[in-house]
Amino acid sequence: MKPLIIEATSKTPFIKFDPETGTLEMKGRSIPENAVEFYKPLVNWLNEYAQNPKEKTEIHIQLDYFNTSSSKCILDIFKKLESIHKKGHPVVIKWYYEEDDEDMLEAGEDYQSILKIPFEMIEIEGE
Amino acid sequence: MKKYYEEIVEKNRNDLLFSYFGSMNEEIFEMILHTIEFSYKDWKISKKIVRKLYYISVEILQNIYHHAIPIDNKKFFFFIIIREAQKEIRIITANLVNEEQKKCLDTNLTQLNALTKEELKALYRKVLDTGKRSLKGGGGLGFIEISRKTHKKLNFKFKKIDFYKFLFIFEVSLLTDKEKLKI
Repeated sequence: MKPLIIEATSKTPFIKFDPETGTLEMKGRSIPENAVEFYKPLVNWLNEYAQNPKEKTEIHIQLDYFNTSSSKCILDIFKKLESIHKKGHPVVIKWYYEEDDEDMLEAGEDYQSILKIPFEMIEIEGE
Repeated sequence: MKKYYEEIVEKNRNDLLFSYFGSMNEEIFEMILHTIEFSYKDWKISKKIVRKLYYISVEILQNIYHHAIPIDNKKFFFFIIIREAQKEIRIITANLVNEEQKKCLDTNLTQLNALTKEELKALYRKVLDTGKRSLKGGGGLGFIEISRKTHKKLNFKFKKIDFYKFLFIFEVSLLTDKEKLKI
């Protein structure tokens, strides 16, 4: 299975999903006008990955902004990972937020309240 | 619409941070957001507040982009005004809507204004988890999110333009933290 790599744009994040290491990365901002279109290949990739996931999967989310259109799509990604986790292949979500960015912390807590997989909130220094 | 915009700009010219009247496209959208994101030093507001302002502006502008109705079936116009007054940053936008949209907005925004912060949080999580997706992903979260990020009730009104159209004027306020920053 090939890795999925998408370069960042002014409205969409950098994506690197690596099936060899089980490490998934999403970094930057997500404010596309049509989030469903952007996130569709990510969901498709995860559907394939779920057939044969690594023993442990880690997803690192470091977003500076995301719109509500993206928030539902990001939840879809997390729910795919939740189903992998429920089938006995551990998944952990690492949610990064800048110090004093209470909105991003709160966004992580929103997801954490919905999902049943380990969620780590990691504070990082602002740029 | 333009006359109304000019009246507001003139009335508030001493505390105006940004204003735009015109059509909406990708370039305009990016220009407005870029201005908001990088003007915080000129505007003397903290990065923390500009972050909230950016979040709210993305939601408002994308709502307008998706839902505003055009004038005479051609491109649509809108305006956005950002001003600072009495320790608040205020964002005013206006765009045309039809009768059905007006009823929907009136009902939804009035309901949101009746909720506490905790109730808004619970509603956001419920809609995020179980709400229907719209074609482009949003599904009704935009105004809930705006409501969560501001410290006051959402302020809105409608002005009748003709039998079919109304001007939807929407205003949100953010508390600045200038006191804390000693600016």
